[in-house]
Amino acid sequence: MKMIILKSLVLAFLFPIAAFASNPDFSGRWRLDKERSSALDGWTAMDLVISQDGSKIEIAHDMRWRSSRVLESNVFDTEGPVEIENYFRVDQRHMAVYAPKQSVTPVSANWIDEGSTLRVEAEVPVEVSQGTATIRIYSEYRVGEGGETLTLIELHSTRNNPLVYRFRKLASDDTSRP
Amino acid sequence: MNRVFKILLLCSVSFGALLFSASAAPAKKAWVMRFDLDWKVASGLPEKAMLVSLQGLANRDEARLYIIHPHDFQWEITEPLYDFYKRKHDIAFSEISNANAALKRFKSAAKGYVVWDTEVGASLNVAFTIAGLEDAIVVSEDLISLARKHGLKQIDDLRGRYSGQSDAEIYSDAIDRYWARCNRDKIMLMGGHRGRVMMPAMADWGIRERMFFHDLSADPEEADELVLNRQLLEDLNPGSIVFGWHPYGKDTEEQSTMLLSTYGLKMEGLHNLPNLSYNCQFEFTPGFKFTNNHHVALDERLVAEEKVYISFVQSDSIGIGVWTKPGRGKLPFAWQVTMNWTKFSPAALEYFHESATVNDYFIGGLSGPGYMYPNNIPKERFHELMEEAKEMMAVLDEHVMEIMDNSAADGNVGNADLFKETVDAYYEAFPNVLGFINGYGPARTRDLRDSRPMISYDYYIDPKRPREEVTADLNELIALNSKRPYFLLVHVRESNDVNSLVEVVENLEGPVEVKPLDVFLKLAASEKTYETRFRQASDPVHFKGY
Repeated sequence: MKMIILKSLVLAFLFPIAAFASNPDFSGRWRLDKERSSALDGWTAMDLVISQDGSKIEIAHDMRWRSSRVLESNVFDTEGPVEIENYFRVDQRHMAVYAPKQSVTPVSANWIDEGSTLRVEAEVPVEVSQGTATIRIYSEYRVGEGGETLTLIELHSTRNNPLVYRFRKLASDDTSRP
Repeated sequence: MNRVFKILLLCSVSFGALLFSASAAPAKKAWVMRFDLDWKVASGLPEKAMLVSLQGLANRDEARLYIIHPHDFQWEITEPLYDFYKRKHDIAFSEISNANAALKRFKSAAKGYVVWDTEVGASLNVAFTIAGLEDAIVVSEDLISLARKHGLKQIDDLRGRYSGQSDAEIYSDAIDRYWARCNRDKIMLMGGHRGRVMMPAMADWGIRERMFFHDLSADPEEADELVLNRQLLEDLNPGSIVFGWHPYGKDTEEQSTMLLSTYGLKMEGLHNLPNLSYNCQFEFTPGFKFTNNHHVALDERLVAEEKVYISFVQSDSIGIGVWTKPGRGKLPFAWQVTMNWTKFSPAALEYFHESATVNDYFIGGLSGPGYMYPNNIPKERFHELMEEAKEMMAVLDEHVMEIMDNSAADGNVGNADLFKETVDAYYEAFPNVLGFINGYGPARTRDLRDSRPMISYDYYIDPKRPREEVTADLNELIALNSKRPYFLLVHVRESNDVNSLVEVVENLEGPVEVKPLDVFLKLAASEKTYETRFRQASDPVHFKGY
């Protein structure tokens, strides 16, 4: 009897993890709705391209500034913390806050809210005029009902205002770029 | 004896004439026209192009024609400066209501007209060049009859001459025909707006001074244009000035300014800066002397407390900035003065000076005696250029030099830093300044030598950025730079207004004090909580250069 209860508990514990190892609704290209988002600074457009492979989630940032285009990815693992070299953050580019050379950012990611939200926590080293500092960035990627909208809420340990970016999903045959 | 007397008489008459011409006061009677904002090629441009060419000729020997632009024109000071001329120089202006009346009044200044081809934008620049050399007004086909009505004869007709040709082909032809006769101390890069809208409001100046007009690209990918652009720059005399602005859509400001800096030349913009042909004929009013609003003596020592010190700087040339916008004077502001205006627009500088509040503080720039990118100035030219800059700073009573090198930047983001050798050169060239500031967008060149700090902008205020986000950005910088004192230098982009910044300051967190730039630099000299840094070879660059 005890063994059955134990097995049940183990299954009950494991099931959500197995169930929410990925959420296919997240995958695809998402375009920033600038009108409904926090103002970008030093960027004119942004797409997120999300792809999933088991517990690994790659979020590519397809950024545009005038004629310049930047494509940078972070790869998370919902099974455990990872260290990401040269972590990409959506920076306010008119602030003298720079990515240090050869930086490593500890990142943890996991699914919450029954798989409708991806939570990411990163401790991002930055270079400022007084030397180096760290921004702890807490992010939630929330997919909306129907899977057509994505909201990214970003909290900085150094900023009292949250940054909220809203995206709409592009059709799979949409080849437009920001 | 008689012969000796004649020679003496001739000499004295000649000397008297020279003396008179050198000190002749501008005419007390002048005319004024008002422009609207229609610069479309299909509607408002042709008449405006004709009128600014007429202005350049009318003002060649005397200051006679002034143009007032609407308040929302990029150069917002034309009306205040008009009032200044009336008030301080006793100019009695008569208003001219239309082009016909302008031609009637000033047709004697022109020997004829040259027709430009409205289908070929570059032909307008060629026409401007001809206008300067031949004393012609420029007209479109539709305006020929008006010119003829006033007895003007055709000098040249560019219609069809350049049809189907590239800009490189057009300017190559123009160089062959006209460059040898043009001014070699000044050239007009009449770029800026292109296509359906062109805004050559600075053409009067180029025509008066018989400059070569062009809008050749500085982009290496437009090699056929770049080679011609280089040819022109190489032919200029040392220390020459490139007036105007780079052509939008052909190249970038960074490329254009970098290119001319590599020749040790100076840029004075913009392409739509009006009335220089009028302004250049005035001097400072008798007895006027610049006295800046210094808050601290050059040799004074201040001690920073454990606070956050903020200072605001507006650098986009004073006349296109926030000077006439509401709220100026409510916060300490430093204003980068276009120092070359001491030479060709002194009344404008005097106007700014007399209307300054105690919170307005003037600084020199950009980078030298004109807009230049110092990382790219040839070493053998640097010293002479900076001597010129120092002379102008002395006239303007300025103690701070602002530096900007965007050659590796991407507009107002990216790498705006100075190599150590460049920083060394500034410290050597300016032993008596209070300090240096650097950047346009944010930058990370910082140093402190003896009592002279070099501080880069930690923040750039985009005028379109919501003020609550500006506040949050500044608060985040204050949080990230946690040592006290923290010196937070802020660049305020043109068209921001001061009132909105007052609100931002009120919502900053921590022991924040807004200081005038001279005080800010003195405090920054007292405790170096910022790290020394120069541009590094491995720093990212947007444009790799030539």
